[in-house]
Amino acid sequence: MTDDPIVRCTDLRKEFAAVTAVDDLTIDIHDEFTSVIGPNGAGKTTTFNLLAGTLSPTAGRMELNGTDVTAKGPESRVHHGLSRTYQITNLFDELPAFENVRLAVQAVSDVPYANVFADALSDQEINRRTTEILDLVGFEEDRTTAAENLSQGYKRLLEIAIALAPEPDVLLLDEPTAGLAVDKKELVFDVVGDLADEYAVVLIEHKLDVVRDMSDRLVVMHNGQVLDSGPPEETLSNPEVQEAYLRGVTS
Amino acid sequence: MSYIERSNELFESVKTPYIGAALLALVAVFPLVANAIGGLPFLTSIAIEMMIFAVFAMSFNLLVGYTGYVSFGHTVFLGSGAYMTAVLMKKFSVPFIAAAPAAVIGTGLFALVVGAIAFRRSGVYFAMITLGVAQVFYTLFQSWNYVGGDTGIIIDPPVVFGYEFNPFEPMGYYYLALATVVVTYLFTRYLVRSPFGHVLQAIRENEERARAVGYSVRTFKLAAFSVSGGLAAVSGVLYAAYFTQVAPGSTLYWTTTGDGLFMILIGGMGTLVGPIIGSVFVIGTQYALSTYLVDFIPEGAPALVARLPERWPLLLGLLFMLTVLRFRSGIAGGLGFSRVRSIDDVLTRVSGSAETEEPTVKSDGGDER
Repeated sequence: MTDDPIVRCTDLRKEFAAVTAVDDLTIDIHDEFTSVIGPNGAGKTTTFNLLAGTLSPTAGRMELNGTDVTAKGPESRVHHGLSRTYQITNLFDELPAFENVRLAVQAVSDVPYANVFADALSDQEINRRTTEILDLVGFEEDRTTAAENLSQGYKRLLEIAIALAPEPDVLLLDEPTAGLAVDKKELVFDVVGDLADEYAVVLIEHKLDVVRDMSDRLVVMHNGQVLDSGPPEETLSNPEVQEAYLRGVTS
Repeated sequence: MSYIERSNELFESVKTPYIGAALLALVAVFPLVANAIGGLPFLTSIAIEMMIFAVFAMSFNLLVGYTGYVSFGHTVFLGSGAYMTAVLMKKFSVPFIAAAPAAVIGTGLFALVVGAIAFRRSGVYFAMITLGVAQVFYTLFQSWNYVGGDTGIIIDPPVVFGYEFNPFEPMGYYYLALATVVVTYLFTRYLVRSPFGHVLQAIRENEERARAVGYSVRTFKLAAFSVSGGLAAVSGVLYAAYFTQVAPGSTLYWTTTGDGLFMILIGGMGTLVGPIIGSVFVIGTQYALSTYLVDFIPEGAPALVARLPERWPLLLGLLFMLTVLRFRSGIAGGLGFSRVRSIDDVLTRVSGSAETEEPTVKSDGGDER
């Protein structure tokens, strides 16, 4: 049953007062590397927020691994196999880097919350898994450092590590290199490229040249609508896409 | 690791428990010393008041310092605990030993209801809803004759297993309060280090992200609010037992919440010992300024200085400002207690088991939160 999509959105719509941010989005996400591109204000992040459950749609339906999750919040979607990062780093600022990831691992474990005499830090299974994830994303900074004191690059890596903790089927990455210097961008993209081998990755990215080579599929958004979607070469040769995207970028 | 580093670490690991034990021993013999110098009833009664409010502040700190929600109505749970105890004892002749746990559990459930309403909002709106709830009960109890209106309920001192507590010979109360402080401290210490407690701190740090990683934050917040309310009721039970009068003005009015916040902030928000330090500091300073300051005012001092002892809140306010400006985590922060639990130990164990089996010195020192 490899043909079944992980995520299936049908006529998903989000209106903010008079503005329609996402207009009847119908899209299937399979186990492949999908990049969502489009100019500022095209509705990319709103789409992400709809997929993750951070926003609830005005209309439409969303299925995750065959379950209707339209009315479910982000805390429930994680348990159905969807996880995300944020464009603006969104961490547990004062807590150590290790604890940031450990919390995410604990969230999908079955620790007994009613036992207040258990020590959260003595669950070796969770600690081991946390260490694995930090190793996986190449987090080489001191793991006792508070998240807020990390450099931008490590904050981005920590974002990704937290999102990986639940071992999601689909991983949503919202501009993971936003605000990074060029060399750090490459470092993060290397990690993203590695992840794409194991997870269905959906990436929001501004820079067309970067995603063109990495992605199996491009979704081009414009004014809240999907202008075109398909393999990168096909999509990018669509004159409509060229016009909308280039105009959006240059303006 | 050098020998010195090792012995330092070893010292760190034993330092905190020993200092704690030494302090506890001092506190335990305090009434005997106070008795010897002839100040027993007065000094001991101040100490009891400090301990009652230490429990209140610890309960409040679970919510404010660990979950990150500032309530302006926390006194309603102290009042609930005190009133439930008093009503059960006075109106239903329930013995104290049964009324106390009933009041704590009852208040925990009551807090669940208040929380279900208040957590529909966050930030200043949450604070205002909780303030509103407390003020409603304050006004209601002021005008409700069944619970004695403004005067409140006056109860007899409790009798437990044949021992009669006596407010004029407060030794029994002193050790009851001390035991309650110790148990409350240990309970909160376990709680904030449990998986549940760690989730509360995740909510404090970033509620949106806590949700995004899969926590049903509403359930955790409600549970925290209920536990925090139940613990506040423990201080209310002590309050009723010791003062033997439960009135709306002292247990339900918003200024009691303010005192609690004051103690947490000055003592160290989000640290375990902060609320205890804060309660001792605030009540101690209050009494010192209002009782003993007068002896230090020279004869013929200008009116502004001469009237300082009766204007002690002014001085307390200045001290508060200085402490909060100087130390981010209050007095406890200044003493080196951190809001964030140290994870050095975990990392050593994880890497130790993965790489070499190097013997590691277990360090508990400094991971006081």
